[in-house]
Amino acid sequence: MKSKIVMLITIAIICILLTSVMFIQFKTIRVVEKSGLSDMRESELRTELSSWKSKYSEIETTLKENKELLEKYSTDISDENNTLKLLKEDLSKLQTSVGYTDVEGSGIEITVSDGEERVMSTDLLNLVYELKYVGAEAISINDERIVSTSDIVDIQEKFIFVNGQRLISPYTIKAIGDKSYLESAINIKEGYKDQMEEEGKLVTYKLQDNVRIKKYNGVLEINYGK
Amino acid sequence: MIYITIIIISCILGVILGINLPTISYTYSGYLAIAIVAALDSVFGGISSSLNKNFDIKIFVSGFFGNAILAMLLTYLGEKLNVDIYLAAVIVFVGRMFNNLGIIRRYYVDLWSKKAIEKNRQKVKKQN
Repeated sequence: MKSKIVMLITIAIICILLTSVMFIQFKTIRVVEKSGLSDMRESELRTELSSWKSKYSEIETTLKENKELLEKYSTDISDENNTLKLLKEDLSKLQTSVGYTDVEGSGIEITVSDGEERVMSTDLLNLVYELKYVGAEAISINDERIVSTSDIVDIQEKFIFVNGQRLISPYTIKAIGDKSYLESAINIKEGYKDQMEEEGKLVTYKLQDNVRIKKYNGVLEINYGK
Repeated sequence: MIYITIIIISCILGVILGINLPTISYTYSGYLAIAIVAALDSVFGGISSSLNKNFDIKIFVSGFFGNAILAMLLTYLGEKLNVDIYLAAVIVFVGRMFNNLGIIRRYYVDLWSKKAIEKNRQKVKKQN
């Protein structure tokens, strides 16, 4: 009787064990069919790897072809490079006229200094406008480049502020442009020089073939204009 | 009869248990599969031996676990040696399973035909 019960229990345990393990296995296989690489066996991984390798080499050849095509296109585009060059030239021109680059060329160097009377900011402003009128391309006062936002103002009747820098007499104004026009702007009868000397201020000038005007060091900001 | 009910009940319990247990890693599922084949071989061997009236629970249990573990070890060894030894285990176990199934089938066919012959004899006796 006892041995019979033992046998029954043993058979029951074995049956439970076998069927449960079988169903775990079924479930595992079913799950794995849905999932990916990390659960694969080595041989499967090998075949997968070789297929990927062949795909890779295929893609590599297409990449090479595409690169060749690209090279061809880029040579075709070289025509467009000319337009790019033109744009760059435009840009450099604009930078020069705005005052972002050093400029060199024929021009005039004027020295305005205090005589019996002090030189005021209006004197310098007038001079700048005169020079602009005769076509000066670049102007500087004591190496401060005059740009569209430059300020030329008196401070406490001691200094003249140009681009936020204190300047004192003598003032050296450099301008690049047509030498004869620039000279005439200063030297004309009843012109700037005569007027200044009437007021008791000293003006001398020197025509030069190689005037060097430094670039504007500030930043042109646009905060309010739209 | 009590054996059959016990077997059916425990099989159902096993199914429920197996469905609710977590899955194992696919790397080890190969070992589990070969163990299942070995265990099934032992079960069929046990059935056929019980039909031949020489069933021994000790031999059955030791065969059940021993074969499964041995099969798993062989599979592991095969993996290390890069030889598919588990194929040999599958062939042996499945071959034996067919053998045992044949024995079981023959036993029941014999039983059935014996009964048929018996009936025929009775019929003949009654006629006489």
